[in-house]
Formats: sequence, structure tokens, C-alpha cells
Amino acid sequence: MAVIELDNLSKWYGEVIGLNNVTSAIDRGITGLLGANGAGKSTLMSLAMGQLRPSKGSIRVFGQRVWDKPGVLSQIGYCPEGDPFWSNLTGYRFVLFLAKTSGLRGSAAVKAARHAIELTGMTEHAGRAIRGYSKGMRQRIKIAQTLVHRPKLLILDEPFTGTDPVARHELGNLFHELVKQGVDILISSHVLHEVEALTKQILLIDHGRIVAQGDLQAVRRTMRDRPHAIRVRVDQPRRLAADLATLDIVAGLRVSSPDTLTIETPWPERVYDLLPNLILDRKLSVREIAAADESLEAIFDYLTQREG
Amino acid sequence: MLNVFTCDKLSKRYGHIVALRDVTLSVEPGLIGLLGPNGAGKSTLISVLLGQTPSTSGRATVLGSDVRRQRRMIRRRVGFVPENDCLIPGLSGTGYVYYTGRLAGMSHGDAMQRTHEVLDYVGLYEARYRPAEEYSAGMKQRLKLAQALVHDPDLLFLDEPTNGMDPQGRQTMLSLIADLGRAEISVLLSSHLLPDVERVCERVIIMGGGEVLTTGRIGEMSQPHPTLYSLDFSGDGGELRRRLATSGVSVLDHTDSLLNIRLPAEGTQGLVLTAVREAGAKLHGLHPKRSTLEETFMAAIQRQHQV
Amino acid sequence: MTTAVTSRSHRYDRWSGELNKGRWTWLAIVVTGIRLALKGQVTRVLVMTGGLVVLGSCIVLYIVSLLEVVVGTNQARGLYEFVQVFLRVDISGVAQIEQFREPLWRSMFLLTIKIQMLWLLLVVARVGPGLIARDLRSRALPIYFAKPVTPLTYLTGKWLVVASFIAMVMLVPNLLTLTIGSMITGGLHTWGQTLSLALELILSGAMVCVVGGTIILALSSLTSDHRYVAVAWVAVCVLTMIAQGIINENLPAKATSGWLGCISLRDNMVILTEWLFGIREAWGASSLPTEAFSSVLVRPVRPICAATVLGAWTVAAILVCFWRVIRFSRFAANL
Repeated sequence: MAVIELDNLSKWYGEVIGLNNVTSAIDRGITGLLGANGAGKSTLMSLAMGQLRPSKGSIRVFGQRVWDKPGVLSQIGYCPEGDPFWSNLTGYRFVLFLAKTSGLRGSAAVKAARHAIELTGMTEHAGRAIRGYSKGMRQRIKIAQTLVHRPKLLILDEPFTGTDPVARHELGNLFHELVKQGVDILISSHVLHEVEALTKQILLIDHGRIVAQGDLQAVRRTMRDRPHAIRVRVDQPRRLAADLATLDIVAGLRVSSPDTLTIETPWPERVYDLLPNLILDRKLSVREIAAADESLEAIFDYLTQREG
Repeated sequence: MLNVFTCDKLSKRYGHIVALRDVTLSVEPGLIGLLGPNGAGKSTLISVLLGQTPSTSGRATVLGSDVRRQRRMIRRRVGFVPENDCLIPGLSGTGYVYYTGRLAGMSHGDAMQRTHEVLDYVGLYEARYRPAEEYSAGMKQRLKLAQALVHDPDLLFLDEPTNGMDPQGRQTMLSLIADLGRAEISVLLSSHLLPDVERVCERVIIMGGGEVLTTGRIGEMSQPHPTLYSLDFSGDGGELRRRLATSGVSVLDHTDSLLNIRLPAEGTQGLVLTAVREAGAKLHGLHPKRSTLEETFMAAIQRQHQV
Repeated sequence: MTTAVTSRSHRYDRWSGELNKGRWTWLAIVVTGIRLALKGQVTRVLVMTGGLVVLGSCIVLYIVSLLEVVVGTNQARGLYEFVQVFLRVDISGVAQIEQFREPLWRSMFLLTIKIQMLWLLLVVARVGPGLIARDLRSRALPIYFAKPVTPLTYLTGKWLVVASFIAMVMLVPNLLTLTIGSMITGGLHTWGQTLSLALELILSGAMVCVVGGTIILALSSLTSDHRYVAVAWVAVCVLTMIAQGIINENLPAKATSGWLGCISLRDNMVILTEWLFGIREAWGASSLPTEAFSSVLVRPVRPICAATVLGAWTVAAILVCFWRVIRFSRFAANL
């Protein structure tokens, strides 16, 4: 079952359009929500939280409509992008307060707050005022706050901003752990590299519309109009190039450094079929064969490139 | 060539907190990444090098000038981009850059000309007369870069210049930084985003707990391993593994479409191709194992924690 | 032969110009500060209306000079009353008005300054609070201190912004009035007197700039919210005035001639200005009876006490400024 379902969903604010007629279903597990600033990511998150009312269409979380249904919120943990703090509070008080607002009482609230803080590795700093926290610590205490009522869905808006690599690593582990416990996560990030390390499942929004969704490699395969680039590091790239140049499946060849040949082709599978034979027949010494443009970053660039 | 900055047993204590502990460095010109978790002492180091924070003990020089005694000399030749928004409310893009040019000691005419030049360079030419408060996050970052470049420094300190920017914004910023390197401006880039550092920097300094943990060339840190490879394939995995084993290639671990292997000797990649061909499998990628900057970083931090 | 040149390759171009020694950095801070402050409509109106206060003093000067001409005639009667109402000096029946010209002028400038001080309270409350507070809020200080700017340069520049506004509202109009007055009456009796009055006006203006300017800067450096600064500034000025008023009501004049009379900042400045102008002595030396001029004088306080109090405020303010600015000039986050 899909966690979030969007059905002809649109949202506009006066003349400004946030999301434009989007239909999609977000699967279980971790989904990376990507897009440039102003693409509509935060709008989608707010709609999923029921904080905004769809202008048209509908959005369902766990099969229920969310607008004006605070009940659904008890299953969602939300980590906003900004710094919505009472910065004089200590980290512990902050989390405890939010535990109480989400309906926990007395020792249950204390226990939940302690547990959430421990999960995010903030126990050591929980007694200090948030005012003195670094950006990374603020992010972690914000994530602790989302976990306090044991939600089934986490919506995290740029949780990695400002965190150092060590903290990111720990957060990544935490997210995988949560997924194992049955929590689903929708996470937006500008750091494509981090998303790629976390999940292969993406939802890419541009100009208020979904331009790609699903498994990363599947997404790349659907982009048929884009020739694929295959990078071969080999001792004599020009000899290999000469052989490949005669084939009509090859669209372009470039010797980009003395030991690297980049092959452009609309039919990568057929090139992959041929390559081992060519290399072995010519007795070349190969160092690396790799798809040069299957990284999330390359895909993101293709899909959001502006004409001209 | 002359060092862009050196530190000799540089220490800084705030009460009982040690922000820098006996930092000794000599850094040659170029693009240098400064890495470390929060609280590693990166900000303090930059602040000391800018002559803003006096060190508790030790010496440091920037571009050959002493940070304690020749602050003015240093600040005329360095630029600094802080992490936070540091705009001056009420000024347009041009007004802001012009003002910082005047602060650096440029004459009115020079400051005016350079302002337009650097704003064009960072891609803010069209937006230059708009109030800087209205700029998007990415534009603000580029404005801060323009501010640091206006007096044509020889060394730039950049603190998290790509933090919070979207992918396109980051790419623009990174290509600007790389271009500065070509113009022979040295850059000290402090960042949590290791891929960004990996992309533009030539060397890195890794700090932790106020100490320098590792320094080195990025190229050396991410040398491909001579015999460890991973293999992307489709087809009969069992058959492929058998063929590999008989030709002397050991399979370390495997999934349906990925094998991690060790070659019997350097330069025997041909064995793999032969095995793939004979097994009737399809090869999608053959990658030498490379230690990434991230691995180097994590290893350095962990070593420190063990000590 | 012509060489083909391509420019605008969008590469970084090095700049080969010279940086000056930084002697004029403060000027850039002042100019930018004044430009930013004058962007506010309210500030512009306040500065202009503040300048208009001297229109009144110009009229008084004109009347006095007229009186000298028409003394003894019927027209003079109305003019005596005018002087009494505006300057609170009863010179009716005095024939040799020229002898009183100097004390009359000085008293008039003292009165003008008293009124201008109220305007200054507002103008400084508009212009001053943001000077450092806004830089703290936008965390712009590390930008200044990554350039060849010292805390002294920075504070001098910022102080000169306030000082310029104080001068615009007080000093410049008063000097203009003095010039105009000298033109219509031929000046005081001697050039020496006119010049010494000009000098005294400048000194009293400088005093207000130093004291007011440093206090508002210190307040501005204490918080990043400029509204709090404005409130604190008005409170410092008005509350001390009220406190002084209450003390003066309830204690005999003798008790308030020492330290107890030096609580209000504004009163202290007025006391020192009066002392500087030598008004008390000038009237005392005249042939008028004490009752005729007593209401133009301010309450007697020992000027040394007032000067000490203002000096203490100023020194404290300067120390606060440096402490705060040096502290926030360092870019070392979270420590």
C-alpha cells in the first residue's frame, strides 16, 4: 500500500503555483524528495501534513484525507526546515514540551523524550540551552522532537543542512533503523549525494510538477532521448575508439584524458555486450568501466535543465 | 613556493575549553579543503588567521605576515565569506559590495569599477541594483563571495559556502571556486559537504577536537586500489563466480548484480572480462575500489576517538 | 597588424590597483551610515523640522535689533513684551539696549538649545539605535573585521554618523543663526565677542555629540533589536529628567546645587552650556535687578559636578562599546 497518495493535486497561493496537477503514490521505505528551491517540495510536505488545504484534487496519507483531520497528525512526525525554537529552553525541555503537546503525560512523556533524545545521540547536550547549539545539534534535536510520539511516517525537510559528516552518518543509520521498525520516511534534501546514500527511491519535482519518480536506475533508463555515457579507462583509448567508431550504435566518442574514453550511446546495453570482446580481442588493459551519468546528480541535472 | 599560511604550535583556549591544540601546519597555495565535525576548531582557526581572535600561544602567519602584529597587511590580502547571512540591511547588491570595497581601502572609482566587475563575475549583474535582502539564498551566497573578492585578495576563507543551497546553486558556487583556483587565488574551503570539497579542492586538512588529524592531497586519498574491484553484471551469477574462481580471482562477497572481487595480481583485469564472456553474463561496470574522502574522514575521526 | 582579443570569457580577472592605507575607512562608514539613515522618511522630516527651530531665534534676533532702533518710541512697548515672553528677561524701561545685546543673545541661544535637545531626543532615537544593533542582528561585524578595519575605526565611523545628525539639528542651524544675526545687527560689540560665542556654540555642540553619541552607541551595541535600544534611550533621557524634576520639587535649592542636581543628562548639558556661555556672570554684571533676569537662568548647580557625571557616562559608554564590538568581531561560532 502506498503511504502517500496524490490525486490530481494542485495548490496555488494567489497567482503563485506551488504544485500543479500532480498524481503520484509514494511507496513505503525512504523516499527522497528532490527539487530546486521553489520547486514545490515544501508545499507538498505541508499538504501531506494537512497544514495546507489542496486547491484542487486530494492527498491521502495512510489512505485518509489529511486536510483538517488532526487525528492523522498523531501518526506523522514533521521536522521543518527553519528554527522554530524557544531557544532559551534546554534541548530536553523542548522535546519534553512537544511530547506533552502530543498527548503524553507524566512519566510516559519523560520516558519518550529521553528515548527520542538518545536515538538522535543528543543525550550529552540535552541539558544545555538550544541557544548555544550548533546547526547540526539543532537539526538533531528537531529530529528527536519528531520521534517523540512514535510516528509511522516521518516528514523531514532538509534534515541534513548544517550537520557534519559524522552526524549525517549517524542520522543515516538512525533512519535505516527506523525503516526496519516499520517507519516510512519522506525526506527532502539538496545534498543529492546524501540522498543517494540513503535510498534509491526518489521523487523529483520541478516547477510544481513531478518530473521523475521511482527507482533511480529505472528513472535513468526511461530517459531514452538522452544518450548514455560510458566511461572506459584503458591503456590505449584511441585504439578502442577506432573500433567503436565504425559501429552505428555509438553516437559519440571522446578521449577525455590520456587513459579515458567516454562513449555516448542511446543503447548502452548493446555497448556493454560488445565491450569485453573488443577489449579482449585487442589485448587492451582495462582499469575501469562505468556509467558516467547514472549518479543522482547527473539525473537531476538532466531533468531540471532549463532550455537555453 | 611561499606558504599561504603557517601555524606553529598554535593553541587557543576559552577558559577550560580547548578550541585549538598545538596546531602546526604549513599550507601551500591552491584550493584547500578544511574538514572536521562541529567543534573541531575550524571556525576558531579561521578567526585566528584573520587576526580577529588572539591565540593563547603559538605563532601563525598568513601570506608571510604575522597574525598578531601585521593584521592590516593580512586583511588587505585576504577575503572572507562567513557562513551566516552577513548583509547590511538597506543596501543594494552594488551598494554592499562597493561599501566593502571602500572598507578594504579602495578609492571611490576603483571600488565602483570592481563592484560591477565582481558582481558580473558571480552572476548577479542583472540583480545588482535590487535590495540585497530580496535575494534568494543562493544569490546571497554569491553576493558574499563578491564582497570577499572586491579587493582582489590572494587568499579566500570560505565557511560553508554551499550550505543550504539547492543543487544548481551549489554547482554554480563550486565552479566559481574552481575558477578562482585557476586565477591563482588560494582558497581555504571549510565544509561539511565532502563531495563538494572532493570536487574542487586539491588538498585537505582534517581537524578534530582542536587538532589537525590528517593533511594530504585528495588525489592520493582516493587512489584506486590495484587489485580490489567491484563488478556490476546481469546474468547467471553462480556461473560467473565459478569461472572467476577457476581463473584465480577471489570473490569477496556478492549480490544478484554486484560482485566484490580481488584480482590475483595487478593488471589482470582481462581475467574478469574473459570470465564474463565465458559465463555469458553481461558486464555493466568494473570499478576499482577507491577510498573516498568520506572514508578517510571517518577513519581519521575514529582514530582520534580511540586515542 | 591588429590582434584579435576576446574578453568576457567569464573568467575571474585579477585587479592590479592599489589599496590606500586605510586612513579614510571611517569616512566610508560615516557616508554609508548617513545615507542609510536618511532613507527613512520620518528621519528626514525630523531633521528638517529640527533645523527649523532656529527660525524662532532668528525672529528674536530681528526683534532685538529692531528694539535697539525704535527704543523710546511707542512701537518699542510691544517689542519689550515680546522679549519678556520669549526670552523671559524684563528689559522694559532700559534705554541702552545695545549694552544688553550680548547676554540677550547668549540667553537666546541657551533657550534654543534647550528646545533643540527635545528634537535631538527623537532624531537620535530614530538614527542611533540601529547603528550597531543592526550589524549585530545581521551578523555583519565579521565582515568589517575581515577587512582592514579596527574596532576604533568602526566605532569612530558609527559615532560620527550620530554626531553628524546632532550637528545637523543643533550646531549647524545655530551657527547659521549667529551669522544671520551678525549680518542684520552688525554683530556683537566686537568681533572677538562674536567669535567667542561661535566657539562656545561649537563646544557645547561637541559636548552633546560626545555624550549623546557614545551613550546611544553603547545602548545600540548591547542588543541586536534596535527597538529595545530606542526605548532604552528614551528611558535614559526622560526618566532621569523626571527623577530630577521630583528631586527639585522636594528638596531646597541648596541641596540640589551639588551631586543631587546632576541626575538628568539633558539638565547637565544645559547647565554646562550656561556655564560655558557665562550667562549668569553676564547678567549679574549688568545693571538689571536680579528679578528681571532670574527666570532666564537655569537652576544653580556646580558645573564641575555636572561635567563629572557626563564624563562618567561617556567613559562607561565608550568602554561598553569596545567590549561589545571586540567580542562580536570575532568569528568563532558556538563558543
